[in-house]
Amino acid sequence: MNGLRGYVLRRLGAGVLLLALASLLTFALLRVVPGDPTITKLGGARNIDPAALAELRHELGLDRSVVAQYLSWVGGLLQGDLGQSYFSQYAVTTLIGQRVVPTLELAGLAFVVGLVLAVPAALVSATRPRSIAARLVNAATAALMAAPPFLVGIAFVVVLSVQAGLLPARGYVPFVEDPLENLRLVAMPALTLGLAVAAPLVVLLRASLGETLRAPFIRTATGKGLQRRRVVLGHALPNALIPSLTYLGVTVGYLLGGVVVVEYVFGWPGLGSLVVDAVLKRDYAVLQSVVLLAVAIFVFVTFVTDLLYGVLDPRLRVGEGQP
Amino acid sequence: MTAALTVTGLTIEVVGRDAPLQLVRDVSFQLGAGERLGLVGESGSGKSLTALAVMRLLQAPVRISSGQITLSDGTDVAALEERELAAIRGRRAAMVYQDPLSALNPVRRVGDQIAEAIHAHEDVTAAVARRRVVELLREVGVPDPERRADQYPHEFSGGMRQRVVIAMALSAGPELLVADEPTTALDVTTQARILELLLRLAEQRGLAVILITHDLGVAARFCDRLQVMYAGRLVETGPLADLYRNPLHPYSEGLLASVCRLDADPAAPMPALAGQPPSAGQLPAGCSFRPRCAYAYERCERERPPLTEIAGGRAAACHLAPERSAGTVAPALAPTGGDR
Repeated sequence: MNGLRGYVLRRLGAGVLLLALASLLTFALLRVVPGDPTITKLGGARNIDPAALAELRHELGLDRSVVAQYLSWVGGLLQGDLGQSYFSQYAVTTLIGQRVVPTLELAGLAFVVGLVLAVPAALVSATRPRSIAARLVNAATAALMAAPPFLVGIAFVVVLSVQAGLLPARGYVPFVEDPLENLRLVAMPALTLGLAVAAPLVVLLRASLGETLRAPFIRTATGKGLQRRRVVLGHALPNALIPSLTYLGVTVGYLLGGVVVVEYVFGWPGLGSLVVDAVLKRDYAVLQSVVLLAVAIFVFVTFVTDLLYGVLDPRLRVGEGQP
Repeated sequence: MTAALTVTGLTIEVVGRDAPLQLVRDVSFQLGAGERLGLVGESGSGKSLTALAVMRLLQAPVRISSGQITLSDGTDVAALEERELAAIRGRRAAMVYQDPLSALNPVRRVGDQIAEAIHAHEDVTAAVARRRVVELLREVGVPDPERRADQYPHEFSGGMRQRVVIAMALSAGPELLVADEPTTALDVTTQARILELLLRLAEQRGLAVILITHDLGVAARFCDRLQVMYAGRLVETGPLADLYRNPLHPYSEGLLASVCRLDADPAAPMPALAGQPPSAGQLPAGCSFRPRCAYAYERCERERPPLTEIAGGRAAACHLAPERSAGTVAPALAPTGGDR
């Protein structure tokens, strides 16, 4: 497994390089965007006392050169200190820490919901394309591909909360405080995001299942006397899942990076809403760290995805030579 | 002697937007227990479809439109429901495929794929199945079977892969083996070894075998009896030696003449059948082979010759077959034929 170790090390090196570049780019972009946290803090662009502005800039360290600011941020990063938010009394690490748990919960559930909905739907759609169930799946998939998630979310709120009164419309309670209420609150956003994840997955999986089901090894599996169900689940599905893996990886990154609109619709305090607040206030300290975190998540997830290819498909396994 | 397989009036069609198109027409034949039958013909002659139909492995839109496929115990495979077929496939009749790489699931270990075929027909523990897998791999000549069982198809060479496919086909102890061009995808030396293996296994296990091939050399080494197909129909059948010595159908004669011989004059042009086989939708009136036939005459255009028994287990679908059998026919001058 020497080859695998070398591969992991190379990928890690590339990941670190990518993060360094991303930190530079994020930092530079934020400084180029017009606006400044001090202006927000002093209450808008008009009638600002230049002396007060200068004092505040000095206090926040914004009067230093851009290079010095960057180096101090990166220096802090390396020691695990992301700096101080310009607007809240909390450290950026604390702010992110508060948001990570809800984001993980929502992303994890949405991913599971997406898979649980998409795999059976794609199986029905690919194996019995003329059935009523398949037609329903195809219509629902097309509709969900077209409708933006916030619209689906609002529809859920209108039907399930406002009209039926079954679920609370928005809010968040930590699971450890009130598990039942937490689950009632997460149900709708998780379902909304799950559907958004499921629709493209159904399309991808339906296509690759259709192709796999015509493969000669499916005929072999049928020819040795396996029941149809075993042929589809044991032979077609594992092969058909391989091409969808990249999409799944990107999806995990997208969900963990914070899904702004859905979080806003349901008042879910995840990373996405933290980012939006930070953008509006030009809270550089928070923004640059969250963006970098999102990049790190993407790099990591892509890496895990590539390793998973080797698990699902022995032909792609790294570091195993021919016998 | 009960026949291992009796096919009666098998017709295969493809269902499209227009009227169904018949790809195999009214094919009937019998295969004795332990008999090795060669099914030969050009691409598109319907030989592979016939083989797949025996296993009921045709995929929509291609389907059996009529006919019976009867096994030794009287089961009509053509009439079974899809879910009843699982008990037949692998257990009564098994298949070896043309391309062993694509015939194996690339993401499952070969040992597991063989074991799965055992579990499909017998209630045995995983350990018993595993032992059987290793025995089977050894029987088909895979060296170091304990280790090889845990490898994936891409770690095998072409010939070894085909041995795995053969082991899988034998795993549930079928009496009938359908081998669809089992050596076509392999290099020449490997072809010979796989053919030897099939021959040895067929003899040891008393298998009835249908060998589909376009290679008459392969057929000559393996088969007891040959069946020649042309444009979806059987045109000739007979014991191997008789058919090679004196083909009754002009198409069989053309096929045999096209075999490349080592003692032929290298400067002479390679003999080849002139023309193309007709496509299924545009069969000529009368005999399908008429446009390419050097012996054709006026009757061939009017009347399609039925497959007729001539003598000694030989049959041919040619108006001239009785005379050809007697050895009294010379080819007409033009391929289109004149008055006789």
